[in-house]
Amino acid sequence: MKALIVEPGSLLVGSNPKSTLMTQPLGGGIAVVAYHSPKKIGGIALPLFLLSEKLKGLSVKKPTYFIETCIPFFVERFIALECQKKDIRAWIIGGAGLLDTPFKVEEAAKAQETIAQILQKNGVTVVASDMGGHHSRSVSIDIATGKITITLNANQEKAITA
Amino acid sequence: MIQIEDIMSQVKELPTFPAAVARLSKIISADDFSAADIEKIIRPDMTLTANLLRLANSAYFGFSREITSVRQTISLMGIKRVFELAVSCSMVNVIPKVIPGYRMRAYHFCLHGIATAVYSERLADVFQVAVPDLLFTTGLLHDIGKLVLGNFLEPEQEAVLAQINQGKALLDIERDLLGMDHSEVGSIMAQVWNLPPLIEVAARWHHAPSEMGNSDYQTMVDLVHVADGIAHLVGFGGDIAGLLRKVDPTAVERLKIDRTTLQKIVLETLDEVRDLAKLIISPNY
Repeated sequence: MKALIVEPGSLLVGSNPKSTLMTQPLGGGIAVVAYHSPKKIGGIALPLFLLSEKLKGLSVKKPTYFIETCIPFFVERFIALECQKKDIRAWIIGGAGLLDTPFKVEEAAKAQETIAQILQKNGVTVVASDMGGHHSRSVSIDIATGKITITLNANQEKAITA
Repeated sequence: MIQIEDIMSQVKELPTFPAAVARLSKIISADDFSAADIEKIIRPDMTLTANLLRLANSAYFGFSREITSVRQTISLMGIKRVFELAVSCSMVNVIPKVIPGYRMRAYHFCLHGIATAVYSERLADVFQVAVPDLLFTTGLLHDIGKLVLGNFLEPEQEAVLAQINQGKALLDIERDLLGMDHSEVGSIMAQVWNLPPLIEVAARWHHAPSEMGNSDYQTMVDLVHVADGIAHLVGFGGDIAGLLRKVDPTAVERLKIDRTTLQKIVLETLDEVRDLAKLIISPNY
């Protein structure tokens, strides 16, 4: 079994049944996990921020850094592997916040909403979300089975089957 | 509750920095050295020399031509920067494969230290705040207390998890269960290892910069504190407590940091943090 790490600000889509895609602890980051059951193709996208006017320049060079440019690109990767949009199912995971922080947590809620809207606009169904709180999650998806595992604080695990 | 003596005996059990780094640390702390002294200490250690040159040639330090000797590194980067490189590339010597008590792999511990170091320097640069030398090392080593305190936290895992599930902050959990937190332990370790005083100060106050009461180091500790929070938010180096930690709004105000610039710093340094970490420690370690 090959474990491939998806780094913050990047995405991976794969069809190798012997591989698992996984993130490191997400912290405040948000992972979009998607699976296409008929073709057994899975992927994880880890965009970092919502695109703001002041950061627009960077989105051309690094589209996977921003939600608005990363998610359509993520869906396109599935389409390129001949997946039907209607059969792609997605989960939104992460967005934890620090305790008592001046770095506002509502950003995560806004990011989640934007991701869901973009996925919906692209014809992808969002099945569920596991967001917020103060626990850092890491997430993995087994390409062969579509089993998604969320690990809280490098400790408790919960599994979702796509 | 643990006592200072317990900490001291655990510190003695830990692997230490290579002899050359310990000697460098001692003379840097005493502020009594020349470039020739530094070269004389580093050169006989071939592993240290090779690793130092590898790091000196990394993209983060941004020199256009190849650096091929310790002397050249000293002349291009300065003595204190060379010390920082020596500490960075020797860090792996003092970290166990898994940090007990925190359920954190060595790679993630290093990654977090490097992210904190890089963000501290970039924040200082972008917001044009004057800071003492060795800011990178203070960021890198701010969490060293975990290396020892983790051994005491490990047998308390059930209680730790119960308190985590109640949403209690990591430092409060440590103090509640052990009577001491990793920042206090970190400052003791910095003293035992003869690290320069500002590293001891940053280790001690990186979770409570407004309680420090030492204006000489205030900016440096504020930078490390904020950088530490950002590193956790971005996901560079999670431990058992996740994001159960605080960022002091007063420190953010003192540094006059704005959100967009902060995001820009994170985006611009993503590759640097990862590349530096990989130069220092294997991602599989």
